[in-house]
Amino acid sequence: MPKRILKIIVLGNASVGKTSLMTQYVNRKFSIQYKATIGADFMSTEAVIDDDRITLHIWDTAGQERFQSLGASFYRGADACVLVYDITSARSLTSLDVWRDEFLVHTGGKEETFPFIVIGNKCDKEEERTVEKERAELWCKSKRGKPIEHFECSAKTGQNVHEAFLHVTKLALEQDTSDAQEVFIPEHIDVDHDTKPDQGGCGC
Amino acid sequence: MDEPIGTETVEDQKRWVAESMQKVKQAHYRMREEISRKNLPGVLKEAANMLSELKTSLLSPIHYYELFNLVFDHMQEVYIFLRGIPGDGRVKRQIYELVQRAASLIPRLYLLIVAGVVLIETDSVPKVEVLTDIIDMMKGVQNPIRGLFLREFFNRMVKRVLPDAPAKPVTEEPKEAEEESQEIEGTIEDSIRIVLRNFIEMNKLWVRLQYAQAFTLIDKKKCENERNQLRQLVGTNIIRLSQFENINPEIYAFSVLPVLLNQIEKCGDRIAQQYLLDSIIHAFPDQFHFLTVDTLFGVLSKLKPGVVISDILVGLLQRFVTFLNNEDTYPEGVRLCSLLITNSGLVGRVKKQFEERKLMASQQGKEFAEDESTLLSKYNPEHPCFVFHVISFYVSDVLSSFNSKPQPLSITSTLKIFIALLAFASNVTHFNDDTLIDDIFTDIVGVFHCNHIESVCEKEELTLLRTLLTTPLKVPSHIFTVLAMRSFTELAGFLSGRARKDLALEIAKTLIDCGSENIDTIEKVDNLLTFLSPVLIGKTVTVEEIDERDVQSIASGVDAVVVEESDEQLDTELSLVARCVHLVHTEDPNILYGILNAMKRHYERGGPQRTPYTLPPLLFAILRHTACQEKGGDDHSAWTTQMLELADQVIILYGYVAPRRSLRLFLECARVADSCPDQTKMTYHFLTNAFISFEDHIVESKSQLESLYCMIGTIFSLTHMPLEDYLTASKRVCMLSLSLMRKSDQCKALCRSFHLFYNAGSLITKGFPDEKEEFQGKVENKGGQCKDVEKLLKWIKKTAEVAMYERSKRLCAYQILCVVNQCISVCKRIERVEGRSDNYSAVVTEVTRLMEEASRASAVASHDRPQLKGIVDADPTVEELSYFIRSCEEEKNKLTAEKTEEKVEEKVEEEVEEKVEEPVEKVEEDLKEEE
Repeated sequence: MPKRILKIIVLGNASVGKTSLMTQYVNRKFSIQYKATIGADFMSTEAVIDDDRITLHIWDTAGQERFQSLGASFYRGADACVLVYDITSARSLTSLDVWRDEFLVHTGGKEETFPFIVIGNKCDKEEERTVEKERAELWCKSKRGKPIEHFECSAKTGQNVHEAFLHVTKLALEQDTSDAQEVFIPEHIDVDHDTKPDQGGCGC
Repeated sequence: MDEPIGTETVEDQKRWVAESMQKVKQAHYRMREEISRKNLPGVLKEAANMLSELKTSLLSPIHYYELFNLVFDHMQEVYIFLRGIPGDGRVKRQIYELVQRAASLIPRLYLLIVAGVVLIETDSVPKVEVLTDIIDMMKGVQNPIRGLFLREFFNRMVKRVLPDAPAKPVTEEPKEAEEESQEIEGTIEDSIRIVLRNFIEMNKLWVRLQYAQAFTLIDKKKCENERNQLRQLVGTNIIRLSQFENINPEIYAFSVLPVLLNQIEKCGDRIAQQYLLDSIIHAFPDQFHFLTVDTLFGVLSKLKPGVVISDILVGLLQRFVTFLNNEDTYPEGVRLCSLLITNSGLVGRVKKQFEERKLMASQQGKEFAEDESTLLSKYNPEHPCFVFHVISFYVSDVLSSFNSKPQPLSITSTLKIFIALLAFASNVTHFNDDTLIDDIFTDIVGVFHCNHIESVCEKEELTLLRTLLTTPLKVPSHIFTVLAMRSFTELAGFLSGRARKDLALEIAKTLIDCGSENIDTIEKVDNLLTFLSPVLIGKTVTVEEIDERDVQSIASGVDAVVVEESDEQLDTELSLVARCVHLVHTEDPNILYGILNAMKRHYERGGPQRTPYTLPPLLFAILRHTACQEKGGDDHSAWTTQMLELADQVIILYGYVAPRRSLRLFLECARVADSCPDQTKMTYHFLTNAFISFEDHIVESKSQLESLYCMIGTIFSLTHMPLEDYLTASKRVCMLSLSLMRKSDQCKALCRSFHLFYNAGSLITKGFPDEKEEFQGKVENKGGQCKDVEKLLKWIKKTAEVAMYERSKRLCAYQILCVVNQCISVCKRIERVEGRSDNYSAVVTEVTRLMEEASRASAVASHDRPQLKGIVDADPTVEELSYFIRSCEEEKNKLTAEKTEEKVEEKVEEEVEEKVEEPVEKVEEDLKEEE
């Protein structure tokens, strides 16, 4: 039975529009107001792929590190990762390397096989563009394994947003079925084994 | 609880979390089996087993979070399973009741939350009631870490069911209708109430952690560390609040912010205050903050000591900037600000402060210069910098309230806030109003004085202060305005030595890089150079101090105040600063004079170490401007004299340090003075100075000769000098030539000197030739007016005498040839002016005679002709000679057609031709032999 909940993590620098993309995808809405995401938050939505109803948990993260005080352990168990940059900021593209590496370190995913996609957001601001599409595509191809799919989207107009998320969902599903799932095989129970001190829970 | 606190290690933590996660996985495996069997009690039992792991007290927040995230992911399966159980609200309610039978508290509450959400999602269930029920029950967990995570779980789970419908308008509707309208769905107001309740509880747990652990042996630092890690959980509530779609500025200002701020203020905890304010500022839209400026700033002054207020203020100001920088939102900002003015009674406070200042001034007997109406006009929405003034008022209000506390703000914090304020001013007003910068700088100076800070030395503070000072200097057109501000120089004075100098250099660099010639008043140059004084003088001193110090250092004989720098450093720094002279540009000659004079005044303070770098560029600037000004009028004549006198003073100053170089500068001045027909007196004056300088300072024979060449060249090119003066000067040069130590030098000098007596008809080039272009096209037949052939012949003879004095025959012949060579070019000039006149013939006769002498000398030495050739070879002018010989052949026959001469001629010709074939090495060898 394939997992019916898929966990997708959205990463990228501060104010590239991670939350906006998610809001556009999940609620089809856009707000011009800037609200920084503090900590980690998720949105859930449902997608229908090949007649299967799938629950998506899309995790939004704080681009500003100081707001992620508890670390990145929620990356674990992710099925796919969306890397977001801003086409008007060249630095946001180069930072993707850092985000990707950090993600792989935390999840222990394999660089070659783990499904990533890259979204260049704010493509409605064509006149302010500093990152050419070719450059971003080059970045995507330069990674080991399968070339990463690249999308230019606009959270403001909704352009390409659904296509991008649909694609990442499919990738995650493929990953989910093709990869040998982490199947838990129960061990025999060692009755005498007790290294752990008293739990000290409140006992209630 | 006998927790092994204090002895646990990182490895322990890792092992414990791994064990717990293993148990969770086991339970999860069994739970999945139960799910596939659709066995509700089994699922709940295994879920409870899984959740039991969260009962631990062993894990640190980071590891607990790890475990929590795993459990959270698995609990989603429980949620989907429960949601998928067929049946209406009644069934879901039964489940909701059922989960409450779980044995221990933690699993029970987690399951309750999941079941609660499932219940709420069915229709016809009063959402708010269920949520309130859960919130009430969660109070049962009072352990901070477990409690915080439980509530985080709540926050995550209820996100999808929190009502977000717009609130019903309260007005006009009767009370019963309102009650009726409290449907099962609920409104955003209910959600806000729920989230705020959760927030208050979480904040309490979070703050309590500090005190709960204070009893145990955990050290304070570790405790604070853990609390800082946990802050993210409390922050989730703030995200929830900010993400409601229907939250509008009014709801925020009246229902959300006051509760948050009240909690922040009341909890009295430094870490909480710091983090929560920061989060509020970042999580809510800019517009909201604008509306609530008054409330926000009101809280700031009530914060606990130790809260880094600057971080909060800087964040807030940055948000304002993004809001106001946007064309779409700027009008809204102004509107909100004016709304603020009317609501907050700000004008009243401004007035009150004004009265207080007035009162204080009158008590201290000081004059009070402020004007109330001007002050109040700043807070009028019509004022172009209105928004800035309003925000700035609040900022300074907070600052003064902090500075009146026993522990005033640190310099770093103060500077950070002012940098943000300045950035705000620059972005919002683009420094349209220069007084803003002045105001800000004055304020900082005030704060520094208040805190008895005399200078800033720490690295971080220095960097900040420099950032502050350079912000308005980024626009080169602003530099002079800023430099004119007393507050700016005063503030820069707080920088310690090196940093102050770096700032000066930075300004000079910005000005020069921008390259616009905008020094056009004396005031500007005074301000600039006073500011650059650390580079120009070597120490930060104000104009008033300089004279005093000079006197002192002269009296004590010690120049200890000036920090000595390496030559290399001086070279880079001063070369940069000296280039400022090229930025001077003004149409008004008198101002121009004033500016250059002021520069001289500033530069001369640099002392012998520095003036060599600064004075020459200044001198050449003076000369350039003198030469370039349009001529005409008595005023102009007086002005030119004035400029030339200034140049004279500059050279004299420079002469103290580099006496030998001043000679050439005097000559340069003489040339420029000569280009103005009415400045003959100055020309003569400069020549005289050059002579004096020669006699006083030029002692080496090599440089004497070189200097003489320069003097000859200069005098030769003079065109406007009265003939009498000209001859005096020329004669003087000849005498000086004669006074040289070596005969050979005398000869060389005289060879050039006698030209002076016939300087008419010389080819003077106009301007500078291009790299590739030949001179010919640009040559003009100009030259001087002296045609004194009599004196010319007299000095040629004299030169020849000196030349023949040489005892070595070979050298003697060579020297005579040199004289001949020079005579030839005089001949050419005479020919150009008067044709082949008597004068011409007279000189040619002399030349012929000399050649005879030469032949006699070389004939004697004919046994070693190669040597002679060697010497001739070393002199490139010989080519000239052969040319002449060929061209004059015809003429020569006319004069005296004696055979001996022809022989000499042939001989010379031969020698010249042979010379070409002679290899260079050979010649060198010959020369050695001779020695």
